Amino acid sequence: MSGAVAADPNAEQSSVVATLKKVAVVAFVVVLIWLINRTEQSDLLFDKIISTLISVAIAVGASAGLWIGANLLFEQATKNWQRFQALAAASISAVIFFALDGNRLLRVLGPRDDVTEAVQDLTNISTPVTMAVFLGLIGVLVGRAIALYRGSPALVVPSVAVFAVLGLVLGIYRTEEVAGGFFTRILWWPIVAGAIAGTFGWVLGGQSDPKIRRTVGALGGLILGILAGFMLFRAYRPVFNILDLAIPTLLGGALFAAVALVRGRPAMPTVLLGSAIGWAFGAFGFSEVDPLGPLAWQVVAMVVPFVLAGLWASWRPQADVVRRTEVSNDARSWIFLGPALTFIAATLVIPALRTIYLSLFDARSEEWVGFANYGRIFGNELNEDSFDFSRAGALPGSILFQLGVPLLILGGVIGVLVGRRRGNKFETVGVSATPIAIGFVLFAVAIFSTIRGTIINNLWWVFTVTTASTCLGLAIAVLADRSKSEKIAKAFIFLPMAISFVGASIIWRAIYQARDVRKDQTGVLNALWVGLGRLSTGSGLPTLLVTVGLVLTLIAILAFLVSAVAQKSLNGVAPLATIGAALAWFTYRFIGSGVGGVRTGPTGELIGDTVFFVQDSPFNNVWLMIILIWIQTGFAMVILSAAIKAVPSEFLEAARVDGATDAQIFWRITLPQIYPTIGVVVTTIIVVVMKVFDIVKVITNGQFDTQVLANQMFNEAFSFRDKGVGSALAIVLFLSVLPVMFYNIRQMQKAQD
Amino acid sequence: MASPPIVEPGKGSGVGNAIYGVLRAIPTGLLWFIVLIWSIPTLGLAVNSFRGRDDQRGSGWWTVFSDEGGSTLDNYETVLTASSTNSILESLANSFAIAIPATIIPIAIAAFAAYAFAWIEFPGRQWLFIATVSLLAVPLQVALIPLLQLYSGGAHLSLPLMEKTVTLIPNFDLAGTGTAVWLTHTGFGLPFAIFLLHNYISGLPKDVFESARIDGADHFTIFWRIVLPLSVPVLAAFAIFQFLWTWNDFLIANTMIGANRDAQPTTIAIANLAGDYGRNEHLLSAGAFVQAFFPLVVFFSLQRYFVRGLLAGSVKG
Repeated sequence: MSGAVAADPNAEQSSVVATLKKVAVVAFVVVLIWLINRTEQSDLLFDKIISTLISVAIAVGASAGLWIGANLLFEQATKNWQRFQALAAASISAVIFFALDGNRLLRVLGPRDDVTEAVQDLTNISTPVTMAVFLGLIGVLVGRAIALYRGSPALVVPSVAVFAVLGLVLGIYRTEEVAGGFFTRILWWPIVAGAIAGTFGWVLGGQSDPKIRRTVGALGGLILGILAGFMLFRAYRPVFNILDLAIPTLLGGALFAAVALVRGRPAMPTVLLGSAIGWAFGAFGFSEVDPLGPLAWQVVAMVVPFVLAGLWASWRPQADVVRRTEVSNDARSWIFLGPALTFIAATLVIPALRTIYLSLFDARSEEWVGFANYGRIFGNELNEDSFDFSRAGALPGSILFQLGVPLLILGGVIGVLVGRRRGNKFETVGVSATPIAIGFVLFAVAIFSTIRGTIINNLWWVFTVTTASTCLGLAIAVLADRSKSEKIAKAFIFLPMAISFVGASIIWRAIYQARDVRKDQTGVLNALWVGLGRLSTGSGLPTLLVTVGLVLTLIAILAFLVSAVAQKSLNGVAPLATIGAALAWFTYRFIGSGVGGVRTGPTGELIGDTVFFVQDSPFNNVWLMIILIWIQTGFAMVILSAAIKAVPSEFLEAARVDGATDAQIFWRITLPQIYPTIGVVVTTIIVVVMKVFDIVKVITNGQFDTQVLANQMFNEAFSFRDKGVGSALAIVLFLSVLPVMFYNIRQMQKAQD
Repeated sequence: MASPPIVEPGKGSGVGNAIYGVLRAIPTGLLWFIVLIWSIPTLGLAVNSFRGRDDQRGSGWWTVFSDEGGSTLDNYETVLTASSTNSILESLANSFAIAIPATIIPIAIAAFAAYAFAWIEFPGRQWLFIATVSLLAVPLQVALIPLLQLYSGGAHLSLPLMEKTVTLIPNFDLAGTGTAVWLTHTGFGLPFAIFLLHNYISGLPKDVFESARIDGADHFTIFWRIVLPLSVPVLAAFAIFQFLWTWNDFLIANTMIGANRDAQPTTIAIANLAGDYGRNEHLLSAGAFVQAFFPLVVFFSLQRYFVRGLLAGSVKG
């Protein structure tokens, strides 16, 4: 407690931890070297890792280049507007050309004729120049990156020069490869278009006379449009039909005009953009496309939208300083957010929406079935029932029920009686809360073990694992708090967090192993169980000693209870009484017919009875849950332990001065202080438990009445190939964590206020 | 418990003190008892991995403490020799090939986004942040079927009325590869990464940013020169998390890779060992230990960061 005393052992421990770390690192290296030497195919192994690393490095480098490039581009919006205009026009055109060229719809091999041959020749001949431009651009990025790293801009020009010359040389001496390859096929057109658009952007950026601006814009659009038409020389060509063209164009213009008017902006430039988009839709969407159509139509189809877009870009007057800063700032937020939002949308949001959509179709996603898949889930029509009430009749006969209900009533009665004495309706004290808590848990388990089914089973998992992990985590956090060996003890409890669920399942499967009682047990639990049976049915000295010990402990507990009641200090009586009752029952069985894996039968013979932890329904579920509890307790402990340490010590000292006991301080001060953290722990664990999959998959794959939603979803979707039901199950899983999600959102909103 | 002797009020008798002393000693004993119980499963696995096939089948691992059970490295040799049928060596390489990109890439992406949410003013920031972070609770099962379709066939949009199909994402034929797995991990890891990094980055002192802005630094420079160097601890914390999570993942790998042996990570490899009933039972402990080895090393050597990350991610909530 006091710093001076605590400092020494702590220092000692951290040196122990440091030594452990060193040992771990050395072990790591040794094993790695051993691994390399032992494998005859070590080359293959390292090739795999290294080739992955290289492709990742390339991907990361390219993305980082793009990202930094975007940042540099918008930096120019405030520094040099004209340059910004040129660069922006160039990048936008390059991207558009890249997308057009890569599009499957348009990119279908059409006929070759004289014109297309000429175009092909042109691209091949000019390859060195475009290559130089392309590498020059990379040179800009590299130069800027070096400059950024070194903190001086001196290297940009030489870097550009080096790369451009390299590109020229490569283009000239390797024309054949470059022209026939990726570069000319994919990058030639975007680069040329970018260069042209950049030039026009530069001119536009320096002009403020509206008439000249619009002329320049239209001219730029015209040239780019013709270029685009020729780029798609081997694509499907539209066959014009005046209605197919006019209606979308007018509709597009009208739609954009309406939006502009609603937002209170001038309609004119927006109408141009809308018409351009409408035309493009009309020409390539609604019109017939034909690989044999005249090339001129292709050119016209491209020229119109490009000219309209050019006019749109040049219509507005030159932006002022305020607008420039705005542009730069707005763009920054999207540059910073863009990659993350794209990834999240592509891997989470859009797939989730599509899952909802798929859940309304049949197994092969062909026929609309409405909510029939959900009907099958909730109507128990799958391989495993979602709700199984067939054994509900056994509920009153279950011993858990018979113990739980009286305890609940007892606790309630005590609470009311104590409350009446103190003038309240109900009093939550140890003597009333303990029976209620225990009774409730027994009652819940009784219900979960008689009313079965996948969804009920999931709820059982959530109830048991969340309660047990949180309570155990809290208990360990309290026990370890201020203990001398806190760090090491916590590390051991926390360790399972680092082990995979699959690994944990394998570990525990070994523990749950059961064999014939005549052989040696290999599972720890059955070994203990059978050992206990041998002990209780035996007649040697150990049996006698244990019996005497049990009886003495019982007497001690009884004596303590009596003296406590006599002194009217009721603290701790309830839990001790519970333990005493349980122990008394155990002793009765131990002395009587025996308890454990070997028992005495009614006629005096010995009966072997190992427990099939994995197979015996319904409590095999509990044994599976224990695996997750083993993993999650560490998580709860770490977080709750930090929260306990964060409780202001003034509170505790004030309470101590007032004469509060340790127990009172914990229940009345520490616990209320950490309620919010308990909320976080509980919600996090609920989400983890709700989607539990690996443990069930590895140990039972849902057999023996242990199915859970996530495993059922996996089996339906990927083993039985029923995408409809699989999707519906995924959505049910999602809906079941929705309350947690709303709770989290509310907490976050509170935190932000 | 190391605690100063508080004299319990109302209990002066010798017997009372004695009982009290016993009770006080219980917590420490109990703590170590729990630690023991918590460690037994792992200990058993470790011991068994050094026992031969017949030993493992005939008796429990605890008998090594009493009997003369010979220890052997045979299990490890089988599991780590590339040519043996039960080798998990190649899957180790696959696990690295998945876990490394799936750890590095989200860090960068999430750092950008966290900075934007914390320090760039733009309309809808609050709303967008809450929407992003609320995805934390979404079970990833919800995205699995469409993602697998995306990896095995690309994304195509049928335009209504036009009778044409536009390819949004071409088919890169990623189904059954590690790339599909780490791409998925990258997306799924982002909400948590953004949440964790945002908690930290938004807590950096405001004056630093203001003075940098006055000096004319733009967002990119501030991010690069100030935020990144200051955020190293939380970046490390997230890296550990993501590494453990991707290394230990079973569901995503199982969905995206399935039966393709060339790309299977260790979790699938040892689950397969476990599936061959009985035959490879004796290799499981060694296999599971090899699988758990790297996470345990990471965990023990970087535990401080790990715990810090855990706390930053949840306590402030």
